[in-house]
Amino acid sequence: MPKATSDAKLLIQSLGKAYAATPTNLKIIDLYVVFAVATALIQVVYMGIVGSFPFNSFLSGVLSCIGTAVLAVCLRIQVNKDNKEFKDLPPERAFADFVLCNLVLHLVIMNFLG
Amino acid sequence: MAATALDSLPAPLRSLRLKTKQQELLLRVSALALIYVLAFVVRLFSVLRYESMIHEFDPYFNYRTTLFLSEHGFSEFWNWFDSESWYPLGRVVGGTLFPGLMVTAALLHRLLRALSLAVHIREVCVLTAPFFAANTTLVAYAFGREIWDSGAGLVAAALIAVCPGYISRSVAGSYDNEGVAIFALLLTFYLFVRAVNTGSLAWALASAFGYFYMVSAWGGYVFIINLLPLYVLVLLVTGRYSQRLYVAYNSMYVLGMLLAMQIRFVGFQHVQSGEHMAAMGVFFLLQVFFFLDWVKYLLNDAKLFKSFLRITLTCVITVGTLALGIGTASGYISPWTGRFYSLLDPTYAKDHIPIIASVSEHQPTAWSSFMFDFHILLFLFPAGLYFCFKRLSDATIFIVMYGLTSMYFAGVMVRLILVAAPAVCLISAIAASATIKNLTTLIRTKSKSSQTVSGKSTGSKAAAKGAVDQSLPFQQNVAIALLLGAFYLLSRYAVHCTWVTSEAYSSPSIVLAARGHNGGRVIFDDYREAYYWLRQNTPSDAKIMSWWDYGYQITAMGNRTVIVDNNTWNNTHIATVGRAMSSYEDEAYEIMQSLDVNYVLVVFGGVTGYSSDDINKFLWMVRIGGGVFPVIKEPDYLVNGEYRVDKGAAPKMLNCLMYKLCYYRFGELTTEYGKPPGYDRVRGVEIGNKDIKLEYLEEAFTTSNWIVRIYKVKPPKNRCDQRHSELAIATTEYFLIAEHVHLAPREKLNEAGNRCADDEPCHGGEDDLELEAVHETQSGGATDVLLDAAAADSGHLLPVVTHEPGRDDRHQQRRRQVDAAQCHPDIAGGGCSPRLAAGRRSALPPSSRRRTAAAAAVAPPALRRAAASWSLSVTGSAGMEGEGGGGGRWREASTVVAGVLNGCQYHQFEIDLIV
Repeated sequence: MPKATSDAKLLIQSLGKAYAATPTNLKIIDLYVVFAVATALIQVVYMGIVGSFPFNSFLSGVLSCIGTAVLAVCLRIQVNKDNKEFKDLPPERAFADFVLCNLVLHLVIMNFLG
Repeated sequence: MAATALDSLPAPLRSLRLKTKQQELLLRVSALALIYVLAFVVRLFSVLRYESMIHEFDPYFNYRTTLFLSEHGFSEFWNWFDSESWYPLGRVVGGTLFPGLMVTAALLHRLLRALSLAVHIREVCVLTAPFFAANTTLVAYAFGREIWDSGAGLVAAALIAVCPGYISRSVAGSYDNEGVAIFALLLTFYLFVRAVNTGSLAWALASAFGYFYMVSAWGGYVFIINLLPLYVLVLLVTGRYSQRLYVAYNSMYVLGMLLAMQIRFVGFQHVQSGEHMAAMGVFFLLQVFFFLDWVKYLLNDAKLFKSFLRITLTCVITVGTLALGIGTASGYISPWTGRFYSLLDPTYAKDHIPIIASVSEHQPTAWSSFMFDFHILLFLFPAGLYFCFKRLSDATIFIVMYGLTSMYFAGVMVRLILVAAPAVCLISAIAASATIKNLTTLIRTKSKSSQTVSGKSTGSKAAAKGAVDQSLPFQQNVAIALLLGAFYLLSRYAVHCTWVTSEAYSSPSIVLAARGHNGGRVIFDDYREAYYWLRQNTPSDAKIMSWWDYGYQITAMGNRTVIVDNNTWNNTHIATVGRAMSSYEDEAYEIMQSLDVNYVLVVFGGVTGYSSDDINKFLWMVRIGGGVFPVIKEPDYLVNGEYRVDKGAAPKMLNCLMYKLCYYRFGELTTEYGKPPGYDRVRGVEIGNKDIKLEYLEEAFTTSNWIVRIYKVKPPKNRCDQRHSELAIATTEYFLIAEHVHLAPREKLNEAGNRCADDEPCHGGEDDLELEAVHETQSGGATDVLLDAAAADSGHLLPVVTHEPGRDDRHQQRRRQVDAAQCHPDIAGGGCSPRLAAGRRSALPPSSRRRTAAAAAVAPPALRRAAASWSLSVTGSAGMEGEGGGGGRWREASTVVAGVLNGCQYHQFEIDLIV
């Protein structure tokens, strides 16, 4: 048991150390993702307590958050300079794609909100 | 080296080289344009052979809804409650269909209108499928280029343009979801592969829109939402996970799911139904995978990562299993539907869901139909798989998986050959293109190497190739032979496809064609004849009962309400119809009364030899009916497990409603020379029950080739017994005569008369059938005595029913004649045969007619009492004229009356009045 806790401690420490080296713009995106996921979780918990009616509103709320998070992660992948796969994709293009997808996502959400 | 070689060329040659590239582009574009035109044109056989019309069953519903959409607008279409189908339940059309096809056609129609091309919506509907098939060739080209090269794309476009498996569902007039859906399917896949290859959000978004279009068009979208996660899973397992995949799948899934939820028919299924759970599971799996990947990248330490992996994996698996278990147990996630089960297990439907098994396109595919629909593609397919495996990439893995899964499904259900067709075409195109390319390079390098040797500028590569060439002496010849063989095969394919299209897939199945004795074409247009008859001759609120196959056509072409139709959403309702069809007439009558059925329509091929008729479908009606109502048992209709309609048939079979309706009066008909009357040309037997009497139904219409037969359900008998009804007639007569009732026609008489004519479509106007009908049932009751007594007092001048002056002069003076002549021995030939009597009576001049006394003279006191409570109304009239024996003209007006006596409603009967 102590081994496991020390393991976990070591893990968290090294993770934190490694994460500190991340560029600021990626950190901002991470924060955004964490915020979106947290919002989604709050909605799920709320749904568990209060009930899922009206279901489409709940779904639009949760999917809005999840969609935002996923798109932000995609953006993070694309603008990450360490990422070899997306070397020839300029960050401007990535951001334009991101905005476009978000636009579609939220227009649909607005339609679905009820 | 190449650059130097290029530079060493003289200037004109260099420009020529550029030109060849342009030429190649020109060639490619023109080939694609020709393929585009070909794909459209090859599907027009049916329009040329028959006419521009909608085919088959389902397309009629689509056509009807499109018509509604273009007339009433999208909002009303979306909220349309259709009361003409599934009587008395109705159907919420807007929420229970895939609107993609209708919206597409309506938009095309509007676009054409905007371009001031005055086209009818029907033409647009007829040509929608060929148009989209042509578009599919473009997508196939792009897809082929994406997974292999532009040559393969071109071949794929050419193959799919004429592939019979695809043509079968996209000829002009087959206005069905699949016509658009295959385009959407291929487009979605292409865009997804493109997204995976580029890792671009924009392509993923486009793919999500393709998916949205697919969801809006066809229920087959389930294939996409299961194939994509499977593909992702395979890439994960084979260690081909990439962040491009993450971007493509996740954004496509979230956006696609959200877009799909906007289609009301699909609604929340993406988060609730078991069929869609795989996609969601893979979505979460990818998140976990990505997270692990990221942590691994951050940690850069194998041992630490391993412990981290252990912790997270156990957590994730527990949570996932718990969520799925709770979801399924609480019924939140609905279990898989029958259609899906029957896909995974081909024998499932046969054992559990007869309504799925009964549809011929849900049957497992025979080898011959594979051969028929794919021809050489069937052999090129494995070769293409070989090439794909040889050059494995994310894209080729996708096409391989698409090909293999869809081939499996095509083997399970005939109709899914359609889904497999694009994959088979693409993979075969890879095989064909790669083979031909290899062969041509062999031939060309040989010639080039010899050229270069002579030109003394040997490149090392060419030299190496030349060395290889020399090691195989006959290589060039073999290559040429193989090339010729490939071209021969491909040309055979083209010939086969054209033949199949013109012979097998271009018949509308609503109009049947056959070869006559002299080889000429005989057209059976019975369906439309019957539906137009319904449209013209039945009341607009008439309810038609038929087997569900014909429901869409009846509502679309006949514009009448049906009990069940091809949207088989309510199994119980269909089973009720199946039960009615397989019951005895009296039991069926009760069911039909409870469903307010006015007409029954059956399809019968015994005269023409049209084999997909109701007698051949009958066992399915029994099975489906018996599945819900255990009263109906299949063995009752079989003899030793054998289904037959001849003398050896089961007694229940010979007397059930379907048998009676199909074979009514068939026993009198000689269908084939040298065969006994009542010879059924489909079953090839003489029928077993030639003397069919219908009690509760009457034949209303039979088309010229007997393919469609329509029966009218008689109104319920007067509830009071027969004696009462006879009393009613006698009372009417008494009432009219003794009380000197004014029988002036009302102003609306003519309108009412018209309505009456609608009710009685096949009766001649002149005969007073209603009274006859009542007389027919006479069996020597009190009224007989009464009428006979009246008849004895012949020559008695009939009392005059006075008329209000100033009204129609034709009715200035009326005499009424009690129709006693029928029962008089002198005229009716001793027997009381009303039909004969009626005929004679019409021929006789009035002077020689039996004029009967007023019933009042002999009316018993009961009659007087009854008359006091007798109220009657005139509902219609019909008349006839003729030259009288005395030289004067006479006119007979028969008046239809209805009334209430002692609380009993009498529908209508006629009283003759002679002027």
